[in-house]
Amino acid sequence: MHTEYFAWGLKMTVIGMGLVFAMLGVLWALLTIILMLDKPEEEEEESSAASASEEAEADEPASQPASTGLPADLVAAITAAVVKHKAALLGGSAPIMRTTWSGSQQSNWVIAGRARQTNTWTPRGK
Amino acid sequence: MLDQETMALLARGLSAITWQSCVMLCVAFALFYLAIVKDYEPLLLLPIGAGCMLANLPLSPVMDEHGMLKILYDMGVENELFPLFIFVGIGALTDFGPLLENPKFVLLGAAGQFGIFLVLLAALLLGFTQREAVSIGIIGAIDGPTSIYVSGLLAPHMLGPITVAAYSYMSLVPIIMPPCIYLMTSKSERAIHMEYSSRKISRFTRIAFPIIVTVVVGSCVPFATPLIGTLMLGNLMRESGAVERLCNASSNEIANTVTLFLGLAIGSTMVGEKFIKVQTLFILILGLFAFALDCVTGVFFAKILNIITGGKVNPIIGSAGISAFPMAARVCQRVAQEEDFENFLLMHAMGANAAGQVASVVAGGVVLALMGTA
Repeated sequence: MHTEYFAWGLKMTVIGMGLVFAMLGVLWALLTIILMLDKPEEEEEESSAASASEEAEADEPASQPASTGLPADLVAAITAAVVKHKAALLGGSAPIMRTTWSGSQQSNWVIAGRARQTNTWTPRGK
Repeated sequence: MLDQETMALLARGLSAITWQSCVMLCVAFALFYLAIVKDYEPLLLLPIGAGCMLANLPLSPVMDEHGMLKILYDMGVENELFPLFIFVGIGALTDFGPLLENPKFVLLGAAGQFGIFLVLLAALLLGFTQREAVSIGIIGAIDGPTSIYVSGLLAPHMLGPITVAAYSYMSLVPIIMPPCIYLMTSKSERAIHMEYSSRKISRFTRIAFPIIVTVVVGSCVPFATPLIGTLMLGNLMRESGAVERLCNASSNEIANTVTLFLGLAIGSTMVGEKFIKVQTLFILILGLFAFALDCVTGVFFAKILNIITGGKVNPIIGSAGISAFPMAARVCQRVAQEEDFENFLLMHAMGANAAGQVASVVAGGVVLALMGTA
C-alpha cells in the first residue's frame, strides 16, 4: 500500500513540478514579448522628450528669470536654504516614540499625535 | 437557598473541563505570546489564538450551531471565501515591478515550490492519505491563503494545524532561511555581485500583467482561477489607478476585517479532541521541512542558473522564490551583505520573491487539478 502511494506521490511530483515550470515558462515568454513590444514606445517617448527639451533650451536664454521674477540660481539657493531650515527644525523637535506594538492598529488618538503631545520631552527635575 | 441541582448547574462549566481543553488553552496562550511578545504575524496569530481559546472553553456557546465562530466558519472558510478576499488585498499591496524588470526570475518562483511535492512524498510515507499528504505539502507554498484554500478543499479536518504551521513559518522566514542558504552556498558564491539596470516599466505593461497572468493561468489551470483571479484583481486595481478607493479598501478595511474573521474561524477548528494528535506534530514538523526544502531547492536551481549564465547569478536569490513577500527578499539582501557589504541583491531578490507569489498560487491550482477537486 505504501509503495503504491509512494509511486503515486512520485508521479504527482514529476507532473506537478513539470506543470508549474511549464506554466511559469509560458508566462516568462509572454512577459518577454510584451516587454519587447513595449520598448520602442518608451524609446520614442524618450527621444521625443529629449528633442523637446533641446528645443526649449535653444529657445530660452541661459539667465532667463523664473516666473517669480527672480533669477533661477537665486530661487535654487532660497529653496536649498528652506529645506535645510526645515531639516534643522525637525532635528530639534521631540523624538518620535513608539506607543504601540508593531503590526497593531493605532488608535485615532495616537494617529492624531495626541499621545505624543501628552509626553514631556524635557528631562525630569530640570 | 442553593439546592444541589442549582449548584450542579452553576458548576456545569467547571465540571466540563477536560485535559484536552486545558492543553488547547495553553496552545492559545502560546499563540498570544508569539503574536504579542515575539511579534510573529500578530494580525493572524492573535485572532487564531482567540478563536482557539473561545472554542476550548467548557460548553462554549460560540461553537454551537448558531454560535459566532460556527457562523464565521460556515460563512467564509467552508466555502473558501475568506482566503480569496485576502488575496485581493495581497494583490493590491504587491508590486510586481521587480519581476517585470527581470522576467527570467519567474523560474526561481517555480523552483521554490519543490518543497510541496517532496513533503507530499514524506507525508505519504508517514501514513497520511493522499488528500491529507497534498494538504500538508501545500504548507511548502509558504502562502497562508493558498494553504487554507487547498487544505480546506482536500482535508478540512486538518485546517487548524496546517494554517498555524503556514503562518508561523512565514513569520520565521528570517530564522529558517539563512541556515539553508549557508548550507547550500560557498563564500565565493554568496559574494557574487549581480548587475542591476533599472528598466522603466510602462503603465500599459503594468496593467497588462495581471490581465495576462489571469487569462493564461486561468485557461491552462482552471482550478487556479479563484486564487490567481483574486490576486490579480487586486493588482489590476492597484496598477490601473482608476479605483483608488476600492484598492485602499481591499488592502486595508476589507483585508483587516477578513483577517480577523479568518483568524477566529481557523482558531475555532482547533478543538482539543481533534487537535491533540500525533498527526498534528507530524504536520508541524513536515511544514518546517517543506519550508527548508523550498529554500534549498531554490538555491540549488539558482546555482544551476549561475553556471548557465557564466557566474552572473548569485545563488542566494534562489531562496527568495517563495511567497513570503517581501520578507524573503530582505533576508537574501541581509545574507549577501553579511558576506560583502557592497553587494546589493535586493531588487533581484524582490523579482524572485514576486515570482514566488505567482508560482505558489499556480502550484496550488496544479495540485487541485491533479487531485481532481474544484
